[in-house]
Amino acid sequence: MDQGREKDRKVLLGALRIATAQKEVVTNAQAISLEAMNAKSLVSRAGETARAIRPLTDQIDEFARKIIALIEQIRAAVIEVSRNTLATFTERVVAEHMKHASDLGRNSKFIGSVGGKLQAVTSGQNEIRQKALASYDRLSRLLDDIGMNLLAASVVVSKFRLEVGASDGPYTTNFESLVDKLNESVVQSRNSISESEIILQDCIRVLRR
Amino acid sequence: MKATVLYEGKSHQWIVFGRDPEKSPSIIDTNQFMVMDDNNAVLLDPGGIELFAPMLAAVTDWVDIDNIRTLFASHQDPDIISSLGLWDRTLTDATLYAPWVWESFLKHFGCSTITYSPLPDEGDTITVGNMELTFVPAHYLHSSGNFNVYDATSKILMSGDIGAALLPPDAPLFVEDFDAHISKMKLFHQRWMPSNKAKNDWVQRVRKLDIEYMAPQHGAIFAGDLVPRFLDWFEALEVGIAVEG
Repeated sequence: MDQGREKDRKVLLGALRIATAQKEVVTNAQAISLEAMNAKSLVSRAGETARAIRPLTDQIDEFARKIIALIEQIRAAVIEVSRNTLATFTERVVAEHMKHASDLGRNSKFIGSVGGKLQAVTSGQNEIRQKALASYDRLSRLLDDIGMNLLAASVVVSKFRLEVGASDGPYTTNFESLVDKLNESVVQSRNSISESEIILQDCIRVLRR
Repeated sequence: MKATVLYEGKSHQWIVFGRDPEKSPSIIDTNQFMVMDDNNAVLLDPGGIELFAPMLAAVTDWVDIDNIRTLFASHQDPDIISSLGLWDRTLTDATLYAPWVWESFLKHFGCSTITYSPLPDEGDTITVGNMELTFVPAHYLHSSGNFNVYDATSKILMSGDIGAALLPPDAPLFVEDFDAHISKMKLFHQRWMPSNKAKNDWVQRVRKLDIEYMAPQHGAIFAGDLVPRFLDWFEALEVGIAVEG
């Protein structure tokens, strides 16, 4: 009984930790978007000297938008995961109470009438578990997706850094500062996503056990 | 969970469940009731979550659970009906009769398959198989939406928290010495019951009923002459004492 509850608790806490991690990703994605806008503005002011940088700022801005859109989907998926995990927990509690009643009333005349209900709850438990696993798989795909976008954003930021290093205009210091901020936000986002993926895989393992 | 037949007539039986030896001492002892004929059973104040398993096991000594199609909750307290969500998963075609004021509150316990039949303030009478049960208003005693159940055939009044006493788990099921019993129930009534007006109104209403047993949800059952004696005692009691405190 306690092992089952511990399992549910672990999975539910995992879902909550993933939800918390996504808040950090949103904050960082918003920072990326803001820095991309600053970069665009700086590119306009720099004129010809920053021509090579312009398409990179557009790309970074696009990645930030994609990441924010994906986060919305992840939020919905995390809610679904939490709901399904709670349902798994509830079904377990119902089954435990019925099982306890069956044990206590094993010599009762009509205890057989509880057996069918217990069986229905047990089979419902399996269905809900499968549903929970499906929602975890969906969340896993979304995290993969956001991870790929962050990786691509990281590559573009590296290119950005190279272009800034090669340029020799009056705004170079400003660009360098921007690149540092962008890089920091992307790195932090990737760390949060990696952490979420580890927690998620752990939850899936526990749920499949 | 101990089961005692309180009434056995031609048409139906009353069974009281309580004094559960396995119950945690940290939760208040409760009496649960079942009224049944050959094919129908009614559970009255079926109890809290902690008592669900022993209660379900105990009722299966008497009835197939598919024959339990009626539940009653005198009010909203957890020791009365927090097991609702579990009964909701166990019973296939049941109706819960409970005060209308508590409908949206009680559904927090889980009530998706059980039909909630809200009782109007003035009460109601239902027929279940061979049994006719009347829901007698007992508002503010102690809950703001509160009913007793009266069965004119068996002359039993299931009085909810009225007449309740805080007794040790091995206490007798029936009140034996009324004077000695007063100390076990006085503070409960003074502190939990908020309104002298509501109390006196209830006493007047219940005096008109022919009662052989007054069966509260906690403590011991009043039989015969002890019923009017309780009514006299209760009528004279000042309740709602916390307001003065």
